[in-house]
Amino acid sequence: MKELIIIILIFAATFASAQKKNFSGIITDEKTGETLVGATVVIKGDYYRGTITDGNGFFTLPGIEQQIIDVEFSYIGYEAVSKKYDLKDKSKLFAEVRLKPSAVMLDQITVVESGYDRIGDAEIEISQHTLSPKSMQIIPTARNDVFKAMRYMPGIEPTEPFSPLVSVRGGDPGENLIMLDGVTIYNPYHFMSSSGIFNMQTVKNVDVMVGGFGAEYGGRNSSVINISTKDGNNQGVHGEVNPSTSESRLFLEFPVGKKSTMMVAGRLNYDIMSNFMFYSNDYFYDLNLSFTHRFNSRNWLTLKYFGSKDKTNIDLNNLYKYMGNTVGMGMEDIFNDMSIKYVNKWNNNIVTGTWKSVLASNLFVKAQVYGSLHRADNFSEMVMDVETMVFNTSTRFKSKVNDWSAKLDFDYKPFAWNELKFGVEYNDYLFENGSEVNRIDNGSVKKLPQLISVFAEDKITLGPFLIRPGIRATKFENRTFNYEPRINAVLNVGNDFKLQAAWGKYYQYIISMNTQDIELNQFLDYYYPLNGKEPSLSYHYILGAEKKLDAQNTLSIDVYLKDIARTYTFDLMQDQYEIFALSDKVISGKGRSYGVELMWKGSFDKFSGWASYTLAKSTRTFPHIMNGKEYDYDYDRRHSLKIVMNYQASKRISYSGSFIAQSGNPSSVENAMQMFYMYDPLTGQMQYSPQYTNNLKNSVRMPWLLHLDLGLRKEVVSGFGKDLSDFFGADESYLTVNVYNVLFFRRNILYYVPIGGFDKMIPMSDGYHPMVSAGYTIKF
Amino acid sequence: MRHYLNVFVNKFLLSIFLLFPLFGVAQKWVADSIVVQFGKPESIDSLSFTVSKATDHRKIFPEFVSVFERKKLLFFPVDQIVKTPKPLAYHFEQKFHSDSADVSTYITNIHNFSIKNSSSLGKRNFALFATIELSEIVGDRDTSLVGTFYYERSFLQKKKQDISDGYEQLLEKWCQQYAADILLVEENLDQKVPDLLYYFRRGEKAVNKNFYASADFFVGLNFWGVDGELWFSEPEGNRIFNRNSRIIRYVNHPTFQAIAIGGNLRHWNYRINRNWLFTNKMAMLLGVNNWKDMDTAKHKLEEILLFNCSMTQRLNFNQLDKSGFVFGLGIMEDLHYVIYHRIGFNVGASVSCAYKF
Repeated sequence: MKELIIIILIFAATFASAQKKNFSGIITDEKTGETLVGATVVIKGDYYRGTITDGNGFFTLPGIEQQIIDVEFSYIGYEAVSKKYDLKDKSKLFAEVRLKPSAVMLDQITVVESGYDRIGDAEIEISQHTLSPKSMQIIPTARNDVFKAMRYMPGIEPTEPFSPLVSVRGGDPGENLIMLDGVTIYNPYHFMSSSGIFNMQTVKNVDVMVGGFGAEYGGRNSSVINISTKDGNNQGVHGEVNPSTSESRLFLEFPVGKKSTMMVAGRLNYDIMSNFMFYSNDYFYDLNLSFTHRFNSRNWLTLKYFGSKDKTNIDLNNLYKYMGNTVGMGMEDIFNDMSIKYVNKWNNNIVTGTWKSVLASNLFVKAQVYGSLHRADNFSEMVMDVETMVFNTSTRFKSKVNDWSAKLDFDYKPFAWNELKFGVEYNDYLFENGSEVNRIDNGSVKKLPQLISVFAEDKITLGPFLIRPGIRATKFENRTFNYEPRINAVLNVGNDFKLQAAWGKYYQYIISMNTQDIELNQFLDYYYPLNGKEPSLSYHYILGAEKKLDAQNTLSIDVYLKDIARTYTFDLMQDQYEIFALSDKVISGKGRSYGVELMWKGSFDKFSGWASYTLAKSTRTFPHIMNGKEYDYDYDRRHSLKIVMNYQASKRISYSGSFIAQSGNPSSVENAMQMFYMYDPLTGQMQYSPQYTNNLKNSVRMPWLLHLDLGLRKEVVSGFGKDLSDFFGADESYLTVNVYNVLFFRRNILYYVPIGGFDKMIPMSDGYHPMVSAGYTIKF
Repeated sequence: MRHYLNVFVNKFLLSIFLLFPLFGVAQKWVADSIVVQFGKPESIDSLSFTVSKATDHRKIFPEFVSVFERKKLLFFPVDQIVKTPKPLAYHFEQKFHSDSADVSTYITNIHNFSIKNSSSLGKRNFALFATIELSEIVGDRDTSLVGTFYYERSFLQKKKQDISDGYEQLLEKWCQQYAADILLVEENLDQKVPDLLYYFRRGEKAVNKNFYASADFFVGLNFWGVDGELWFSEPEGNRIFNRNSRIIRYVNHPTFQAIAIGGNLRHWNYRINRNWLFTNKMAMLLGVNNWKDMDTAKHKLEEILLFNCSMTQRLNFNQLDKSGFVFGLGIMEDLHYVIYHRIGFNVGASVSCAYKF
């Protein structure tokens, strides 16, 4: 009830609008027609009459008393434009401004963007990071992948080196809300490359809020990750081609008539050599289509489709035969009788329609409908022939998610000091999970919940002090509304120094099953709706400070506490034949994550990049684990140092490097193992399942991990590459060379494999040697 | 904890120390460029013509002459750019300038001008490629197209000699040649290709490099396969000329099939007439095998590798300076080696089909 009163008060205050003029508009790139997000609009001579464009390139300056205003529009990398507007003329109240990329800035070496967020609110959001394609390209391991790039931001850690899943500030991977142009997407990953399904050529920006996010976003406890894609170029045909022996990509954007634009992009990954040599049949592809029609400067409609498919059929039998014959010494039979097989089929299909409209000069509305469909079928099997008996263990996990949603958001700016956002969202879900263990079908569980969410937040500016109270009300299934109040505040102390604070309550109704204990490598989240159970709940407490050292360099610090009041885990190993499908046996517990993140980003001389250090701790408590004793969470990393640096040696050539040094994660190293055997008379095979016996959860911390990767990018000026780019009339062609795992001599230990009755442990690493890759890109 | 911290500090400092010197000298490493004179600084003596205007149509910076790779510290490959002090077009106008007012006046369009540089066995081999259109100024404003020169000139230099001297000598030599060629063209107005100059096409505008996409099928008594090839070919400036292509080959033998790739396959060409071209293709390829008898024969990991060498002699229907389909017929000799197996030799027939863009 209290929350409702707050909402009513907020509305009452804001709708009492004065009779002053509102000046609004939209800012786009003159060359591509793409909207510019975070561009600055300032009325000259009036310091407080300034704003920046939002995620749609839209801005509003309400409550203007002057008749004639002189406005400056600027954006990093673009030439600033000054224009005079006579507001007596009503047609001048809405401006459509096109900014020209600056020739000087194009040559500038910095890869660090201005730091404006593309989701949330630049002025008040805390713990936010933006990754542009330019900054992602300098990270050698992440040149083509959003999720690998994100790992270089503070507070974001990979769950495992080979998995695309990330843990944000000690949270579970399933607590991250991942969106593609505002559409929630489930498991946006490819299997073979452990990478994201987003084709980097289509990506406009990646925005991450790792905590303290406002009431506009909900449904997840840890973070919001939004990937925005390009709408298409209205100035001509442009594109990019990347052929290679393992993956080829094509990207095209072009105008359709005078008012529409289109973007088409595809990626096909194939591993010809492995397929050919080892009879594995693997591929994946993804496809982006986008069509935008501008009815006029105030109304536009965007239709998007995104599809991806992974098909993996890896059979290591042939590889083992080669290895056995090569090693010799009687190992031939052992290797010949071994087989490990992975058969995976994943796909994602997303359709969305978004209508954006400037209803009034101070009222912007966005309506979106979407369908986000995900399917996964993962089968893995290990077979060993021992004399006359075949030992076989296998798992199969199937997952199906349908999310049909409609949402309506309003952005209303009645006064210069006040901005109100409110909206409503409806989700209709289907979750179906099924499993087979040792080829015994455990059936599947199907659930069809609905979620209604309503939010409102009001940003109030009082001189140097900004405060944004907000509330989100959510109703899952037929239960009563849950309320999630949140508040963000910023104090601009002066001297480019600001203090920030945020507090929020976050509910999560759909959690992810952690199958790490029984899958060799967990690549996917298996989503599970908490029907009939209290939602997962956490509270964020964050304090931050940010100091702009100069025009290029920023230093920031965040101190956070995430109080996880209610969380869940699945007791997957309690009974080997009851796992997963009968997984209503979720167990409730609690946890806590806290830490401090220090970050510098900027440029000096010919260097640009960022560096961060995180000191953090994350714990969990569950009644069935160590009798409720607190333990370090699986993804807890105590220390984490990350550096990404680019050195622009010349106009043509740049070197880059990325470095990570971090504590190892906690692990339950086994000192014994119990095996369950069962003879299957139908197949004549012996099915077996290992059961671990260590009752100390995460009692050992793995050694430190060190990673250094180096990259080179150079413009191609001669040879076949240059001829090819000339043939296609390309604007630019360049070569990238990456060297991974440069510090291979210092082996990173991921886990220990016991041998000889647990007398010895063999340390296993994520890489024993450096790797080199090269790629070629044509841009036109 | 202390141990981990020590490990971290040691490794981190080590990497920083390893990297920083590199960054410190990286500018010198990667931005090296060699400035060479466009031949001798003075104009060519007793020129009977003037190039009043030169226009550079190349899609690269205007001073560009050449780029080649050099190993620094015996390992790091670094690009070396070779350029002229001022734009190439400016040098053309300066170099081919006559003090006499009573001479023919030309304008040139430079479509291609580059020097390739490769080294082997103590020698440095320069190859100059140029496509230059020549028009004569008639009256005050009108121009008349004279024709197009296609140059493909080689020049050998000892490796010990200064590389700048090599470039400058080649450029000067070419300038003298170009001046002589224009004079020859002026004096023999009625002569046609190839009687006058093989590399001059009178009255024709410049043609671009040709892009070839080709599929070669070959079959022998107990093997067959197909080559996919891509290459760019400069317009022909000589009757005999070499071109290099990128190739991927699929080959099927009785006990295995293989995919092989090669990055520098050589085509030796002899132009018989405007329609027919003889080609000898020499390929050195590295491939991977897929054994058909994996279940019965105990193949080792190293048997995955295939070393393949082949030659193909072929007669092609390939029209000079024209785009379109290219067909060829010939014989192919194939030599292959797999570790632990005898060297194999096969002969087969080859049929080629390509499109010349």
